[in-house]
Amino acid sequence: MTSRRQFLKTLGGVTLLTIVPRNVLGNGMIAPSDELTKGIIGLGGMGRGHIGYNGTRVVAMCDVDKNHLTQAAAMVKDKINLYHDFRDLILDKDVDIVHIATPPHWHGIMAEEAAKAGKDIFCEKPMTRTIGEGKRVMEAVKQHGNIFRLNTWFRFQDQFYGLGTPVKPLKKLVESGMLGWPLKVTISKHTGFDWKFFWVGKNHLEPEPIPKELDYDLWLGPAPYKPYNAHRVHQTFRGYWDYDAGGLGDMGQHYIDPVQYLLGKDNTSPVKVEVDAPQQHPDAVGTWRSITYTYEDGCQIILWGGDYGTPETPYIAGPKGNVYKNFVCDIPNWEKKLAEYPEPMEQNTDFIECVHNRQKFALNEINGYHSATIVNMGAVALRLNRTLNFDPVKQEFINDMEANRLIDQTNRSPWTI
Amino acid sequence: MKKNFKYILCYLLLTVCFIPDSVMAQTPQSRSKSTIVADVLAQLPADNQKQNNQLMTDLVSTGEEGLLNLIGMLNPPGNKSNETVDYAISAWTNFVANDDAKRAIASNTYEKALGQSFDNEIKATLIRQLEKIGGDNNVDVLSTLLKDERLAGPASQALIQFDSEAANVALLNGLKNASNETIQIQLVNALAQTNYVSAEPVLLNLLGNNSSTVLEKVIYNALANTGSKMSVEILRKAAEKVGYSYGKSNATQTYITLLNRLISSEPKLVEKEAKNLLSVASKQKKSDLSVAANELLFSLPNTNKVNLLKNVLKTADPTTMTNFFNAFSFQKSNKEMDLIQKTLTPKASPAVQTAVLYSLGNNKIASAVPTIINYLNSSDRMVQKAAVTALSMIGGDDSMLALTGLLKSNDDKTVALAKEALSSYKGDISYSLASVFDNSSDAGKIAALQLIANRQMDSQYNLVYNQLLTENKAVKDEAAKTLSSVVTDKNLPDLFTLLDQSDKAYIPSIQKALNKALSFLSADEQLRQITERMDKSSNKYLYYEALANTGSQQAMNVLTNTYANSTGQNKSAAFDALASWKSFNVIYSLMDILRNSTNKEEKSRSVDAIVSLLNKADVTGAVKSLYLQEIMGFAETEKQKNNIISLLGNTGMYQSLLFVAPFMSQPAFSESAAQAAMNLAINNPDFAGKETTEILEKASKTLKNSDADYQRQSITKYLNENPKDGGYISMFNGKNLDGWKGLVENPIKRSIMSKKDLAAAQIKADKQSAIDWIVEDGNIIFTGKGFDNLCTEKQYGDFEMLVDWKLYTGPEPDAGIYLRGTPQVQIWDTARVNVGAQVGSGGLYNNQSNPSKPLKVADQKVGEWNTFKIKMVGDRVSVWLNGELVTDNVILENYWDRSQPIFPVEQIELQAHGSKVAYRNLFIKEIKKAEPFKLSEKEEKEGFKILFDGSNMYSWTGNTKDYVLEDGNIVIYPSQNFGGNLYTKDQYDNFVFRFEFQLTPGANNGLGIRTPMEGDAAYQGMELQILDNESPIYKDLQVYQYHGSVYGVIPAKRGFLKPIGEWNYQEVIADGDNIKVTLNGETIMEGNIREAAKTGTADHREHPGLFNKTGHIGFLGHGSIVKFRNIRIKDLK
Repeated sequence: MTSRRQFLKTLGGVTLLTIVPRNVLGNGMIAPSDELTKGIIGLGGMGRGHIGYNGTRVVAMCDVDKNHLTQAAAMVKDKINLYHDFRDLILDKDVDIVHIATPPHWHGIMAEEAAKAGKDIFCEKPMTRTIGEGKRVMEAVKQHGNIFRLNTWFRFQDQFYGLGTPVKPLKKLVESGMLGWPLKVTISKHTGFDWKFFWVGKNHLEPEPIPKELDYDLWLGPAPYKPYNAHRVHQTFRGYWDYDAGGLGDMGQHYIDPVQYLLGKDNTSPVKVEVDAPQQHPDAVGTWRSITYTYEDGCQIILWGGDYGTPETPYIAGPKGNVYKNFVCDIPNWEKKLAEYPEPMEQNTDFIECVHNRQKFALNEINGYHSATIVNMGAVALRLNRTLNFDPVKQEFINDMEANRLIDQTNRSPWTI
Repeated sequence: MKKNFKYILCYLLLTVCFIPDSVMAQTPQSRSKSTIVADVLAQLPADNQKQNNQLMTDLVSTGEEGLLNLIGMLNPPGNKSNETVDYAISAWTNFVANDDAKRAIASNTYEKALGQSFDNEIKATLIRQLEKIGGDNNVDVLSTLLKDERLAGPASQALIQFDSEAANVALLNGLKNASNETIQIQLVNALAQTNYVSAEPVLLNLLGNNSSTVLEKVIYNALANTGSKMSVEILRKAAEKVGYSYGKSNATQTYITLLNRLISSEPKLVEKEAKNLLSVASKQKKSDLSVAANELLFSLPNTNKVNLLKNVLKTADPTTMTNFFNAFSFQKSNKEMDLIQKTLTPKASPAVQTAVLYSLGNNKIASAVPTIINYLNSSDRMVQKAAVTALSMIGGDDSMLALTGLLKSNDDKTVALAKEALSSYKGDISYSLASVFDNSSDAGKIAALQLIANRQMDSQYNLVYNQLLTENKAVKDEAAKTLSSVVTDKNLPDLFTLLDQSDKAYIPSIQKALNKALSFLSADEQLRQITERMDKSSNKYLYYEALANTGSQQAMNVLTNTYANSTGQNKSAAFDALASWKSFNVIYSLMDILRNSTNKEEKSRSVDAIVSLLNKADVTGAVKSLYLQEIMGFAETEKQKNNIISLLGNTGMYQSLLFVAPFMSQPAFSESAAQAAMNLAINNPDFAGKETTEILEKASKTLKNSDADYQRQSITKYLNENPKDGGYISMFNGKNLDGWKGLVENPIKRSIMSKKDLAAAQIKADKQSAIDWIVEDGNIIFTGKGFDNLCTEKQYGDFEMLVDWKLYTGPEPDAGIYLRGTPQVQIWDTARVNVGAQVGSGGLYNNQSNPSKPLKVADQKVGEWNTFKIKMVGDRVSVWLNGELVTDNVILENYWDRSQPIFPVEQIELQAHGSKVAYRNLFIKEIKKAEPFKLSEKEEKEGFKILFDGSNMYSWTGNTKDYVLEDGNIVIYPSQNFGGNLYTKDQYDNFVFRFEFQLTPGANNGLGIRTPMEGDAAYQGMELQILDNESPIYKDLQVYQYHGSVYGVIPAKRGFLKPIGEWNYQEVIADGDNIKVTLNGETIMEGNIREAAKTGTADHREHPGLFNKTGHIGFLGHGSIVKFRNIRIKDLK
């Protein structure tokens, strides 16, 4: 069969909009015949959980673990194409959108490959495991004109964790200037965020036989070769620096991306990152006390791990007012004063619509890259256990050779990005 | 792992709180390199940056020898753990990365080690260190490793990071000499990650030789990143071969990448190739290729950008156009901007219109506004939305007026788009809204009213008010909703009139507006205006909500009385008002209604009101838990019950945990109960134990929500880190008084009764208690007559206890909890000011020299449940009443004989004090107690007396706040009042004093003897130094400051302290002028103070108290943690 977008494409742009019934576009209301098709790579917990996402129809799946693939296939009624090598899924002409739900060490390469193939991309967070890979993805998407969506959504929908409100009214408050400037945002247990420290690695893994169903070499892909142990893969991979960055990697972009949006920093990066943490194991992710990011204008994002810090801390601290957990603000009559300000600019939150009108999704490769970079800067500082200075224009660390080597980690053959 | 984790934790605990920053590892100078390495390993990972730096400075000072020593400890995977060695090596690498000299030492050492025979995985580990910090010095050794199939990968990856000519040459030579394809692939892939142009000929050569597809792929990629114009044709052909589409060979992409690299060096060639690519793209209708080709052309220095733009516009492909527009900052060029704008014609396809509209908006082209306005009513939704979005991005008055104009449309979707855009408009839209209002459609009017409401435009009050007088129901309804957003106190007269005259349907909106208008006034003024108006009104009930909103006690009294004494509308309005009351003090009224009302709906709404009140109230989890447990009995719907369960999950109470756990077995509540149970347990390691483990295991199986996997991980982590046995045990089975008995006399009298007498008295007491104490509805109730306490059969030493209690209204409500048979943690009615009960419950009522009053009043009203957590360790008691700390580690005095310390173990008693009282939720967790110290037979014979046996601090006085009893030790935790001293109650002149002490790094304390309780004991008496004098921070000490010296007078020998963390045993003999200190069996100081001071003291200071005949013995705190135990003394006659 030919998918909707393929069909539209072959007819050329001029006719594109004449054959799609106008009234069905927008608000995610796509008639079945216009449904975009999706191929999912990575069918562990995350990928399987996203099979039923609205507005798209799953037509292909790929996993290097046969068991994952069989389990996921059983969840779908229609016949679908199953793949072992993600590039075969990308090659599948029936696939409009490539959904990347693998561990993060694969995100960069897969997104880049999908971009080259002219596919639109739906990528789970964190966007990439290194700053360099994020840059490549951004370049590849620019070079091929794809629509890219990074899948965390708090900047535009749902209650934002401990704030108990969507981000929009917070954005309005920040934009109003009522809190003053610069702002300091603290993401911690005390302000309603949990850094999930159970994602720590084990620092002594015994080599184990590789299970028959798993292609471990392809699972590792670009990551350094290390002998197999079940704890490295599947549910527990987040505990290893080669693939992710523990709770910071897991929750970082969820928690930080909306802050980047709040502070209006979607196109820049902090100039400094400081960590207070024990020396990290070279392989296994450990816990930390705090990570502090500072922007050139003095704005700060502070992450407190575990129970670190004090309960009285505001979520946003500004020179003229503070916002606490559950969206409690200490400015007298703030709600009334705030009402007089305009709402924040609407964001493009309908991915399907973006695929049709080729406009950037609310959380795309550019702002997604920048929020992933905050996470990855933190990971580098943790691994090196020192303060790092960053040049937001060059997007590299200043005077720190070792830190810069972690911007572009090398890739194991035959993978490159 | 486990061990290490605990280690980190314990380290964290210690250092976060106490270790002064300056005190770290011992100085390295005196130690051998391997000792330093071992010392550092024992302390890794460090707990803070400062300590890490200190440790790493020590470690790195061992240089090559130390690093080789470490490397030698590495085990191949599968053998012994590398846990700390991994930390040390990694930390070493990181620590030296930006110090050229030290980095060179480290990288040379790694290089040296790589030349030795190690397991390949260990070598890979070492190569990864070089990947981080290596440089040209290490190229040679890595080159040799390129021949090894396992190590060629890591070695080549390290070389890439060096980013140097030498490294690149090594990679290329490696490739030339590669013996098989596996190694070739690795090296080509490495070269692809460099930009080493000299690789090209070798790569091209390799391509000819029947390479496999994988090799071919990596070669293409390497050529793309290193190649010159020489490679262009080859890559083009490869791309052509796959029809310029995506393939595993990556040919098309590598072709494009190469062209991008050649833009500045080969512009002509790139132009030719890009044009070719563009025509392919256009033939194949591939927008991704077309974007790439246009990008190339756009980046070329001499491109005619206008022509390029024209061509892009001609493609009419939205992807190509959008990307080109994004790349092209055309707002600076009128000519190009005009071109783009001209594309925006009614004839253009909607896709083109959309693309152009978004680009005009994204680039904020103000001059385009008149053109854009033409597309606001496009029949194509996508175009229309693009036009609206563009205007909203550009802003300005014209845009705003045009958007406001859309409110005239009869099309709901058009109106919705306009409303959305106007809501984010930066500027005043009120007058514009007002001017179009009358001509707007109904949908438009409603949208306008919503916009007025959102921005709370009180300037538009009249507009809104007028709509309330129209007959257009839809608009009128919206206006009513809007009213509260635009009123101020000026509108109160209008609102009062509206309230009395409006249809019932609009009353709630008007009441809301009234409340809003009133909020501009003070509470008193609000009350005045409302009552004045209410008195005149025949519909008083209409004003109850406003009354409630004042939050005043007077209003609450009015409403409570009205509820109790009226009927019909007034009663129900009074109820509504109470149910909407915002502050917590309404809880008593609502609970009364809930308990006594016969109206089913009222009961149900009371439950909702209380749930909502508790959800928001700023009261402790303990208080919330008490009320939630009670209202659960009144809840009827599943939703109510689930709400209550969820709220209980946030109360942090063990009672809540046990209360919600059984609901996990009921399908309708299983999920909320499991989540609540999980929250409660996970946030409270205190709850760990057998019961909690069972509950969590059940919760883990029960959880089904989308985060359940995360939650199960947390549960597993909790269970791994906390004890699975022990924990709280119930003291009451809920059915009868098994485990409890009647009261026979006090512990002292009981102890001298004969067994027979005691047994007889017990039978009698049990008979009496069976009459006075009953079990009803799961509560233990004392009926109110008599004074016979109910006692546990079991005796308790140290424990943590939970108990809920409730007093009943009556003449003199009074009760209490006896701890170890001794009165008491006080419970009474705070209204009884004649006996001083206004201080609240929870104090140690019978204390005379220690605090007897609670720190604050935390009682709930008589008739309501309260809850205690009582912790007793040694002679110290802490009490939390309703979640507030009211007694903070206070010594409980022995009421029965004040010359004795409190009994070490005894029964717990529920006090009977002549008034009715109920108890429930009784739990206890026994705390393991160190065996009290006992004198040896010899010491006993010699006449030693115990001053501290680990169970109480009865013999001590002074700073009992910082010196606490913990695990059988006296521990000083210095606080703000830093340095306060602990003294023996008695005074001693000549004596043998024996004790044990344990130091923390750098710790400083002192043993004062023959000292008064005031002043500096070193001068007003005598101080025998207690000091970690091995710490580097004390390296410049005077000898008369060493541990054991008579401070400033007689020096001591250094070097006999046990290592930090071990117990030292010390004996001090003070016999007239002769003082002798023996530490761990070694006499470290012996001398005669009179002789020593004959020619002036060593520190040249006055010591006026040096020859005191007698005085106290004291521990003289200096801001460090020190532990003491097993303290005994013998008087010398």
